[in-house]
Amino acid sequence: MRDLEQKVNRIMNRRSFKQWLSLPCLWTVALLTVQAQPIELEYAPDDGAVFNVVETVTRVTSVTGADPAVDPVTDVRMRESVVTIAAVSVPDPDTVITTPGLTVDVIPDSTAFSNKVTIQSQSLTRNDNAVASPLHAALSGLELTYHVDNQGNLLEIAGYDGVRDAMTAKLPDKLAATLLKLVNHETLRHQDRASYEEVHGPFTEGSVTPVVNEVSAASHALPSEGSVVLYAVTTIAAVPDEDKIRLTRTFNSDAAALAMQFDGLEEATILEAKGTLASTLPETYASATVSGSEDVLVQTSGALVESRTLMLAAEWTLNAPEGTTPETHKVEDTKQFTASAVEMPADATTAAQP
Amino acid sequence: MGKLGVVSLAFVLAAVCVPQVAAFSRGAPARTSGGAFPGESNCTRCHAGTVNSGPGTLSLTVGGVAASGDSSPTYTPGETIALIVSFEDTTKFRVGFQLTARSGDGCGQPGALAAASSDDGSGISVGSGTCGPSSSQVQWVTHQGPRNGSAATFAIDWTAPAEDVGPVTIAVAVNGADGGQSARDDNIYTLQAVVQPSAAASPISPMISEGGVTSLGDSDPALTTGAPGGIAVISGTGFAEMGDGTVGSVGADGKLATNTGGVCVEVNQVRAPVLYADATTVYVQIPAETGLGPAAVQVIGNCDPEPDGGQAVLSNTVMFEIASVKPALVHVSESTAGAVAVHEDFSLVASEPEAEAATEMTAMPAEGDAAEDSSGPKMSPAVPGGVVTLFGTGFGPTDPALASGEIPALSHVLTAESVQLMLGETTVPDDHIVYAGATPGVAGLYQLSARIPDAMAAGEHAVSLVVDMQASPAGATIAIGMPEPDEDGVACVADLVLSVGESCSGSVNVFGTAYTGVFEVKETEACVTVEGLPPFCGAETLDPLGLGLLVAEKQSDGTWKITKFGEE
Repeated sequence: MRDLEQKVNRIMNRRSFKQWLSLPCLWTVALLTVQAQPIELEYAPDDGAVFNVVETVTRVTSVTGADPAVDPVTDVRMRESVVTIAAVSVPDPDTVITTPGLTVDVIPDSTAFSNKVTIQSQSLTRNDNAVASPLHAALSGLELTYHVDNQGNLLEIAGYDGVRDAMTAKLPDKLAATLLKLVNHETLRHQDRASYEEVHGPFTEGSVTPVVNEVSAASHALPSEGSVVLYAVTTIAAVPDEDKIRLTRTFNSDAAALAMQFDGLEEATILEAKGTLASTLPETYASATVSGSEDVLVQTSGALVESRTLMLAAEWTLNAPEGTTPETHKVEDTKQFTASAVEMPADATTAAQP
Repeated sequence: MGKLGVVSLAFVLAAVCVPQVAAFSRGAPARTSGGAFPGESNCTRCHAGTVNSGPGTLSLTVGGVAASGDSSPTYTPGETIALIVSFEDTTKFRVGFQLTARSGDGCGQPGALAAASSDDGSGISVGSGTCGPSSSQVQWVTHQGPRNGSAATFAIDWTAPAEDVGPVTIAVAVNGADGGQSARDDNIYTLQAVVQPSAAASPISPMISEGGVTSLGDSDPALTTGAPGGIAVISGTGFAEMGDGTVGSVGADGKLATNTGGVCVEVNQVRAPVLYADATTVYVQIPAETGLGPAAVQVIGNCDPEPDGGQAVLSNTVMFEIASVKPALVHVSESTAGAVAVHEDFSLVASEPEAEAATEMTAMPAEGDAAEDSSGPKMSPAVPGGVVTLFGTGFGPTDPALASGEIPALSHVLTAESVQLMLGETTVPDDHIVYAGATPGVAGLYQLSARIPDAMAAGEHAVSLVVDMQASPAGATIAIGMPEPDEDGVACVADLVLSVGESCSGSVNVFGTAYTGVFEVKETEACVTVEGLPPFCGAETLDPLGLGLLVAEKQSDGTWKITKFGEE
């Protein structure tokens, strides 16, 4: 009998059941039932389309409390790129795309895309002052090719080897020779690939299933050391009257605080997602929290990520002797991605054909 | 006395007693192979003749590979390799020979020699004895009876040593005799070849040169002290296989790997991130976990081999000192000795080549508008107010801290108590330091960007970076030019009126010498800067040198008017 009670309680605590209890929520669930059908996504940008892509990473760091008290520092790393799409038709399963130093196997019987990317500029500023970066200087102007399949999966990136020639051309000879021993273009390629996956990854499965307040959890590394369990509440929904999908996500390492932001969402439900995950804080830390949000807008036709904003604020307080003010560190990271179509004259788009 | 001793004694007896009579028709005595080994001689020890002066030919193949010219015979440990000695001298009719193989200092016996079972191996005997004055036992092979005829081939089986013993030298001496019973009128030939161990089977042991662990950066002598997070350069041999160097890559954790191209480095037994490795040079980041003080550095070749990939090989250990901070600046130009700075556009900060140097101030380029032609890189001197950047390593801890192998993505500033940039005798004010910290995107490299003080005199200045009282080595320089004229390149003339922030430039003749300079109006004063001299400044009036050649006065509205410029 006690087992039965526990089962009932668990069901009562579930998000969907609580939503069902009120009439408005009943409609919501009904609507969800209709919307829960996967939305097909096919990566199909127009051949010759041109996009201006801006990626910005902003980090604000501050320390308050006992010595040292540090004024907030703002780092901004920015990359602007122009992406020209060129559809590559694959006539038979054996076809491969070959570019110097790179061979890409193409998924049989599919259409692939060869996205020509020119990094217009890449820079880093600290408190609005430019930080001279020879690597960013070398990357600015670099031409890359992203090979993308018809689901938006990034098959490969070609062209990062050009950074070696760029360093030689743009920097004094001995400085360039030193940097050539310290910078591996393959590392740059891996970093760029990871950045692409972070933005586009959730939308490269061929379809996306709408969800409302779906709870998940993951281990999240703090900017310094240690990690916390970070809970996320995700909603994916079609944007009314627009051919777009919106993904919104709210993060918090404090399950109770997260639950308070959503009607009908219980702390216990959130904690269920934790599984075996556990925070690992250094002994010198008294506490640590992370909170934030993510907002992604995707064009359904074409599966193009239009914009993405990810904000995460990490705060950790160090242990302090009694009678002293504990030192609190705060790091606020904001990543922004925007891709906006550029109208090109007819002759220019023709010229972009492979 | 053992068998070998008997053979050895027989050789000795033969050498002492027989040669003048029998001309060694039953084999050459020990130590006559012609090799450059301790105590070794050749056939001229007993036979009259000048080595390698006859018309004949002598050759050797090792495992079918000719031991001459561009060929590089190799051995695999434990392998039996055919050595074929071929000789021809149409002026002679009887042939005898001796061959030996040596390793190490010339007295090592690498494996074993034996007569081949083929026809060409018949009539060959093996003897052994001591190597010169040492007690090391070594082998020789020689003819049992001379081969009749003008040509002869001797076949020997060499069983290579079970382990890699490094290069093996094979020496052969042949005597072409006339068939008479005297030792005169013979033609004597010698040949020496080096057989290397097969690289695939057995990697060459890495060896760090004496004092071969230094900090990245340029100084004479090189710095043998570095700081955690900085870059150390290891010089030596046999680090990686020959060919292009390998630049370090990142692992799954996003940090630099500690194995690059099969090369690892341990600093006080802590694996260091390897930034770059080739056969003679390895760049590593000094791990923070090693602590401060003396550090033992050791290179591991064939590091973490795959199964059946052989054994890892360790180098010798060389000491290196680790301090909390040890700044060293990187020289940025091959052609401009000592130059350490770049402009904001990353062009070189250096005096322009003489032929291109501006002779008139009005022709001076603005900062960043650096000279460029096909004969060399862009370069121009730094100017007061301009920002320059210097690169180096060992600047010390940063905030946020960087873990070993972590690639700085954003800014990481130095946490040092004090960071001073000295330009000659001038200390650049703290508020002129634009950035001092890790170089974005490059693990182990640091940089300092600073604005050149307005009062900085033009000329070549020594540069020193002082971090927490630790100064970078001497030898770094920076070229400071004249202050930048305004964008229009206004020339100084009489009656010219300038507001705060404006400037003009020009030259005046003083006792036959032209002095070029810039007149600049600042918030509280006006200054004239002449190349090679400290600035002349005045709050109300200005008459540099007191010669009345350039006179300027402050007006009631705060502007300055040039009342006189140039010669009378």
